[in-house]
This record gives sequence, C-alpha cells and structure tokens, in this order.
Amino acid sequence: MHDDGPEPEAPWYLPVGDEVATFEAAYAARLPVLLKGPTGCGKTRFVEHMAWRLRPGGHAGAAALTTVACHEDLTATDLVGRYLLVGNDTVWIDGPLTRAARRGSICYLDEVVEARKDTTVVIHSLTDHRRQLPIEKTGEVLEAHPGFLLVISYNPGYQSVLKDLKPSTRQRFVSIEFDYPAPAVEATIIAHEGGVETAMAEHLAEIGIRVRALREHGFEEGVSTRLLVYAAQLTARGIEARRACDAAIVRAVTDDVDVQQAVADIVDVVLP
Amino acid sequence: MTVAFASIQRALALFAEALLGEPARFDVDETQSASGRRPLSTLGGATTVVLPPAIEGRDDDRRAYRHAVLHQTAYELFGTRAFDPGAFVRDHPDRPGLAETFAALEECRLDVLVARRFPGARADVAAAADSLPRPPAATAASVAHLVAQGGLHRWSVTEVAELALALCPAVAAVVPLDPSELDLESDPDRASSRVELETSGGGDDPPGTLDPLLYDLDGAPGDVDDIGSGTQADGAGAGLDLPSLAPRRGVAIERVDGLDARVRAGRSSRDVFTGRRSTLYDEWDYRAGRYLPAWCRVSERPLEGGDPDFVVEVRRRHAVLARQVRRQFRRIAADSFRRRHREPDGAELDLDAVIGSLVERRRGVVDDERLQIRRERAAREVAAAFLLDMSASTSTPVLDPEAPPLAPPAPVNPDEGYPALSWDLSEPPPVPSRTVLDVAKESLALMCDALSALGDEHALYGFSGSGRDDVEFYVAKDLHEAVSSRTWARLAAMQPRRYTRMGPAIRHATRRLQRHPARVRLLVVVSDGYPQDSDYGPDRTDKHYGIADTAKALAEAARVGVETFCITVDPAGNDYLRHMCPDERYLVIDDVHQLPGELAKLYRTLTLSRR
Repeated sequence: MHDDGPEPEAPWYLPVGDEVATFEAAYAARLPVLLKGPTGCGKTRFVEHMAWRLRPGGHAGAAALTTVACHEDLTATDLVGRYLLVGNDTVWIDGPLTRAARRGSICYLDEVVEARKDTTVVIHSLTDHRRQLPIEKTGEVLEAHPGFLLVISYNPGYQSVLKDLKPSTRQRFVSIEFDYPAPAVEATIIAHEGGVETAMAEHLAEIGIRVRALREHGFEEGVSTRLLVYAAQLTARGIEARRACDAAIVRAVTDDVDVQQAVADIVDVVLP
Repeated sequence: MTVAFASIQRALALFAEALLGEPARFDVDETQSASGRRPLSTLGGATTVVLPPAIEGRDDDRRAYRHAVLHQTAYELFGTRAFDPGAFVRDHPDRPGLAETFAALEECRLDVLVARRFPGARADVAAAADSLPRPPAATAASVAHLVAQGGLHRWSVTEVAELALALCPAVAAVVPLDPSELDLESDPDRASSRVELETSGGGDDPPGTLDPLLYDLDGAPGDVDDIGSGTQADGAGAGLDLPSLAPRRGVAIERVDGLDARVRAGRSSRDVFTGRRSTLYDEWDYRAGRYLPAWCRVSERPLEGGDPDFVVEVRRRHAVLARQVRRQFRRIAADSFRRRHREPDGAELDLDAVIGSLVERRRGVVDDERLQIRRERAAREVAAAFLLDMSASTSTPVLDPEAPPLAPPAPVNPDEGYPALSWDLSEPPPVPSRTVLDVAKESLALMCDALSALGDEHALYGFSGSGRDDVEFYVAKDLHEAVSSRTWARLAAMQPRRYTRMGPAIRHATRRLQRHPARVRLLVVVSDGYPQDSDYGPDRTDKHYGIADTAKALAEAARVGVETFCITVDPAGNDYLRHMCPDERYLVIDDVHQLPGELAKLYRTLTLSRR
C-alpha cells in the first residue's frame, strides 16, 4: 500500500553509537528488539526514526509503525483483539499487535513490563522462529507478515523492582541499551529539537548533568533529555529562560521542596 | 534579614551534591567568613563545606550561603583541594609569603572559573571580590599585574603554584638552579608563556585591589595566548619575562612536579573510593540534642572470594529446620491467592457481571465484556532486609553441637609413660571452626531459601567499619535481585571486620528499603552487642551515644514506613535494647543456635500480622 502524497520527513534522531546499524541488522534478520533506557532518553524517537528508515519499499505512507503505550490494565485481549457487540451482532476487531502482524509493520510495545503478565504469553510465539500469533477467540493462527517486527522497551531504573522481564521473555530479544547522551550530543539534540542557540542548549545540557547527580533524592532518573528540550522550546517561544526551566524542569522532576530549591539554584547559577 | 544555616541546610547540601556529583560533608564554624573563602592550607582530605551558623547584614542571605557553597565546591571542581595547598607551602622558607601569594592567585583563578562556568553566579562573584586575599607586599604588584593580564581560567592549579613559587624571592636565595633546565620555550604546553611580571609596584592596580572579573570577562585583554605572543605591556621596561626568573622557576617546576604526582595519586585513590559509592548521613548527638549534618560516610563494599557451595552445608546442617520453615512459608503462600472479578479473561464466569451484562444488553447498551473471574497470586508486597553485624566480636567461637565429643583421656600406664599430646603445646589449641557470624550467616541463608520460595522480596546486608568516615556496608543480596550462586558466595564471604556503628548502617538500609515500592517494609538487625565505634561520640567510654544514635535511626525508619526489629545474641542485650528499640521490637537470644529458628518464626509473625 503506497501513498502518492509527499514524502514525509524523517523523524530527527542523532545516533550516539552503533544503535542504527544494530537495529538494521536485527530487522534484516527479523530478530525482535528490546530497547532499555531511562525515561525521555530517546527510545521512542529512535523507533520512529528506524521505522521511517525501514519503511516498506522505501515509500512513505505505509503503516510502518504501530505504537502501544503499555499500562497496568493492558491485557493480552487488548493487544490481540476482541469481539465487540454491535446491536445484537458480534464483530471481531483486531488489536494493535494483530494489525501490525497482518500488515507487516513494526509493533512497538512501549514500557512493556507495565502491562499484565498475560501479554508476554502472546508475544512469545511471535518472537521466535514461528512468527505466529494464535488468536484463541477466533481460532486463527496468524502467520506474521514478512515485514513485521516486534520492538519492546522497558526502563530498568524504576521498573526493575517489582516488575521485571522474565528471562524467558528477555532472551528472545536483541537488546540495545540507551542512556542520556554525552553533554555535547545532548546539547546538539536540545538545540535542534528546542530551537535554541547552541550556547543556550549547552547551558541546558549542563543543567541536565548537574540535576542527574541528584537522582537518588526522590526522583530515580534525574531530568530527561525530553524535559530539557521542553525547557528549550518554551525559551524559544519567548518565555524567560529561568521561568521556562522552572516550569519544565524544577517543578516537573520532584515535589520535594528542598530538591526543587537545589535544582532551581543549579538552573540559576548555570544560566547567564 | 538573617537566615540561619540550619533552616536551609538540606537544600544547600543537595545543591553541593548536584555540583560535585556526590554528597559533601557540611560543618558549621562561627569563624568562617560569609564569602565562603577558606584558608587554602586547610584544604585536603574529604570534601567538607564549612559555613557560618548565620549570615547577617546582607540583603539576601540565602543567596550568600549559596555562593559560599558554590565557591567551596570550586575547590573540588577546579583541582585546588586535590593539589593540597597545605603540603605545597609546608617546607618553604617563606611559608607565609608563599601561602599568601598562592592564595591571592588561586582565589582569583577560582573566581574567574566560577564566573565563566556558572555565569548566573557572576554577580555573586563580583560581590565577593572584596574578600579576595591580599598578597604580601613583596609580590603584590606582580600578582596584581598577572591578574590584570587576565587568562587565569586557562591556568591549572599547578601552574598557579609554579608562578607563586617563581614570585617568591626566598626560593632563589635558597636553591639556585641551572637556567638551561628551565627553557620555557621547549615546554610544548607552555611554549609561549612569556608572562609579563612587574618587579615593583608599577602596576595600574594598587596592591590588594584584585578583581579578576574586570580582566577576564567581557572581552578584556589578557588571554594567555595573547600574552604568549610576547606583547609587551604598556610602560616599557616595567616588566620582565619568566625566563629571567629561571632559577626560581626551576625550583618551582621541581617542586610542582612532585606535587603533580601527589595530585594524580590522590585522584586515583579518590576514584577507587567513589567507585564504591558512598553516602553521607547525619548522626544524632544526644548530648547536644541535635543532628550532626553529613557526619558519617557509608561506603558500599564488594563481597568477594566466598564459596558458593556454602549453602549446601547449611542445608545439610539444618535440614529439619529448613523443611519446617519452608512448610510454614508455603502455607503463607497458599493463603495469598485472590480472585479478581470483572476480568476480560479468567477461569470462571463472574455471575454478577454476567447478569449485569444481560440487563445492559436488553437495554441496548454495549458493555465492556469483562465477565470473568481470574484467580491469581496476590503480590504479598513485603520487602524485608536483614542487616547483619559483622564487627570483630562476631568472631567469637561457638561450640558446635555437631562436633564429636572430646575423647576421654587415654588411661596412663606408668610403665609406658604418658601418651603423646594431640597437639603441640607450643602452638595455640585449635579454635572451634564456627563463630557467631557463621551461625548468623547460616540463619540468613535459611531465610533466603525460604523467602525465595515464598516470593517475598528480601535483601541480605552486612555492616561494620572504623570511624565515621568509613562505615562499611556490604550487599550479599539486594531486594530486586534473584537468588543465585553469587548470592551464596557473597554471603559466605562475610567475615568479622571492625566496629559496630549501627546508626548509619540502619539509615543506609532504610534508604534502600524506602526506595522499594512494597506495602510492608521490614528491617531486621542481627547483632551480637551494643553499637560502638572508635569515634562514636566525643567520649569513647560513653556507650549511650551510640545507643541514642541507633535509637534515633530506628525511629527515623519508623517515620518513613519501615518497620524495624533487633535481634541480639548478646546475653546482656536487655540492658540496652530496651532503651534503643521501640516496645516489643527486640529479642534477646541466649543460645546463638536458636537464631535460625527464631528468625523464621519472627519473620512469619511480623509479616503475617500486617498482611
């Protein structure tokens, strides 16, 4: 299914290592991929970027990526599909995983360990050599489209406690590990995504480094690149830099008054 | 407006931690100036931020405190502390002169660096310029001129030290060196360091009015590279270049090379130290009735070299007890299933939901199809940590009940003489093979086995140490970690160490538990004596200091939702545990061999009653 519309722009992504090549190799071998990393470090953007690079036939418009934000009430039924009642009839509706497997797109289960345990069962047969999705309620055994790939992400920081991937699930995936980028790279990302000058982006990256040193104090992961970009975007739209950081960083990372004060102090001394 | 340090202490401590990347110790000293500048010769050792108890007479005292903290973290960030200025000036013939010259230059360098690295603090740096130390009269003009040249931010602390030595006339008088060794042009790093120096008070700035920001910011002249071009300062003949100070600088280089080596050594040992991940904790001083801020440093240490097969022997030795405990814990597990109604999938229909759904369908409303009951194991949501005292006293031998009884003495036949002794009297007698710590470790191994079967999150920690700067914390198994052969090896590797500073160890274990999102959090401390350390309180004979601090730490744990329980195998435990622990939150065991059984009973009681 091709679209005649204009070619959409690639989602911007700045590689920090060999993750692009690794993902491409995994896709070529149809090996499912696990992305590990803290919140807001660019996992979702990376998948969007890779889905664009690997879009079917190199053409735009195909359903290249299906993203599911997992949550604690998400069940296998939600992923696979269900019968819905329409009047007195029942109509089968594919879930996002089934849709992706039929169409041959990349299915990205974001923060997969948040979902209920039964979801892991349905992905097992899709992630080994069988590449099948048994749909119990319809009796169908769906052979995954050759273009289909399953990508999952999870955050080993705050999710490693009560929720963790079982080895039997984890060991079906090629793992690519992410972390917050090095300061110079992060500044480039902030400048590009936030629309601010390099100097301002470097200041925000410096704030990021300093605040992450406090990650033990009530917020597990420090400040994400995403929040630094938010601060930059507010600044680019005319909000005074300290006020932008207050809204996007200081108030966002914690409710602890003393930690807020310390973060505000960092912002205040780092910004000109 | 006056702000007391105590009211903003935590926010400042966090500010310092963000700047340094690790916690800093804070001390309060009434003689400390509000500017934050400290006598450089007192730097060295652990990072300590020293602040006055209150700052008066400023418009914004909180900001003054913040700048004092920022300035003192600059000693760390820009290498001053690692350089150890005290050692640098110690043996110099003109120690005060060198110290003052070095301080004048170094403080200027730090102000410039702080203003450049933290531009938001420029106004604070400028406001603190009045407090810059003044160089001695002999070098004042040269120092002032150097500062005026600018570019100090490109100098390292060792280069500043070189310069201070070169400026100090006493050096040349003491040790003349071969000028050929001091060819600065051959130094690739400093190939063009022809710095203009005033030999007498001919500079534009009168001595003592240094303000580096005037020269180093806003495009002022004075970049080191510019100086390197050999441009002469205005007022020809007033300056001289560094090669003319060769003999002095030669000594400087020799001395500084030595210091550089020390700095490098200091950094590497520091890396090793911080690699262990340390955390500072307050300590309760019952005499003063206040907390000593950031008083104790708890460092996490690895446990290595233990035998993973240690657990095999434990299971064999305690086979009967292990079976009993597992059976008890299995009953807890069986009680833990629960039925979840209105689920989309499940083993049986939820009758109420089905009836409701039929009614809704008759009304023409589409329901959500969640008509099943699912039976699932409820998460017990219990997280328990066992904190084991690894002090030297736990090496006390215990009689092994499995040991074969001593053989009756062989009858003596006077004709044959006395039989040979079983050991050489010149050697000490063989020590019993098991100690208090061994029994405690076995107890934890049994608990770990049983809790793994039950599915409760649990951690095995140990602690010891010597002194407030060196509280050791060992992790044999962490809360989120699965039991493996490494767990057993680490548990086996626990050995009697040194003292028992219980307060900070409890605070550290509490902090780890606190981060764990369980409904019931339990901390069980297993010890063999009262808390003590080489510096646990100002008076070593005051046992109550450690007891009071430990009691405070236990109360702090309770406040954040961590339940505590102390078990001791010290027969005298009743004497201090009743002061240390909340009511009925302790147990004294007469016979250490009861520990495994008591621990299991205790755990069951504590967690069952709170399900």
